[in-house]
Amino acid sequence: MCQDCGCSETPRSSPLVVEVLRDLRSANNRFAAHNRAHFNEHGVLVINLMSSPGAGKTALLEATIDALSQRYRIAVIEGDLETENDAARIRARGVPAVQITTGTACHLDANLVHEALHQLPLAGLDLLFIENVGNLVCPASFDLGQHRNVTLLSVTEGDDKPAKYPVIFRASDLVVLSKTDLLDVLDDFDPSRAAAHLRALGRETPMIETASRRVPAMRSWLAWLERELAVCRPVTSPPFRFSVRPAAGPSRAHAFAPGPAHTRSPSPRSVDP
Amino acid sequence: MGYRTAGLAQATVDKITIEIGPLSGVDPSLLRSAFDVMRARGCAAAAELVIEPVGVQVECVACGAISAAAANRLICAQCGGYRTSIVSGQELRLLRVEMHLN
Repeated sequence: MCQDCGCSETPRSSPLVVEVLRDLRSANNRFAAHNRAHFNEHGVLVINLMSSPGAGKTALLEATIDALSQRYRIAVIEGDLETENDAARIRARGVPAVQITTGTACHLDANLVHEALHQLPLAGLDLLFIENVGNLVCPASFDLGQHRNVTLLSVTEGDDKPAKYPVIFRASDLVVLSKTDLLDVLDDFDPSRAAAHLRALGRETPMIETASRRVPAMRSWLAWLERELAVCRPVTSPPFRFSVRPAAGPSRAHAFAPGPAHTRSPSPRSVDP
Repeated sequence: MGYRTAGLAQATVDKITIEIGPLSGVDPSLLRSAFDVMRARGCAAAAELVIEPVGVQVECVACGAISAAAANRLICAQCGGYRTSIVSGQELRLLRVEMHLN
């Protein structure tokens, strides 16, 4: 017995070590798989659109809706801390939009998206955009059930963003340089430097240039969307499965075995217009 | 927020071990401060939080080599290949919980 090592203390009863080995994101991942099952059941291509605040996500969606809404049935889930402003902008283009206001949360999670998706007529949709909260950090860690991640990088932000925020850019299936009509007046943004930083993340993620206010500058973005939709279009024998990309890493969102989506009729009452 | 302690009402958690990779999107020091707040008044109020670091490793699609990498430079260290899969670095896992019955 001594005063140093604790050997004089009464031994505590029943020490118990439980090996858990469980991903702390598993609860969100289960919800995400459930969302994906809903989307697949209805053959809807779902795109998670991420960026810094102000990179032009909503403007890109407005221009996309103008270009494609005659041929595809589009809807948008909007994520912001506060206001219905973005959803109102989308509805003004004649497309249904559900606004999620997260309060203080800096990202969407699968549970929030699940609540929103039941306010949309999924059976009547081809393409659903989820506009995430403007943030290059947290949205990357939460699978929503989307099929593709698209990250915008506006040319006013700096061409080293992929090196500064590797997690979100590595998780992206496409990087969209936005506001490229401003390149002429910016001397510190070099698209080739941005591409090099992106390439260093080891996925050879494609990068395209857009300018939402110039119709010709939307061509490559629209072409990318149409290619992705073409993968999704032949919904012949449900349940439909989206292809798994070979470059997907172990935690990539596309490798999934969806469970059955529960049946629940959509509630169009809350859908505008 | 309550803790799920069903069946463990008489248990006190001594130590919680998790692993966090640099590509998980979670900052260990921020998680540690959050833990200090969340554990108050629960069965883990006095628990120690152990965070095991994980290094980033990538596997080259071209040459198959597995090499260490920086979080923002995930290319193959062997052949310089620009297409890799992530072997480790994305972990955000609860490894084990150590507790005792009162």
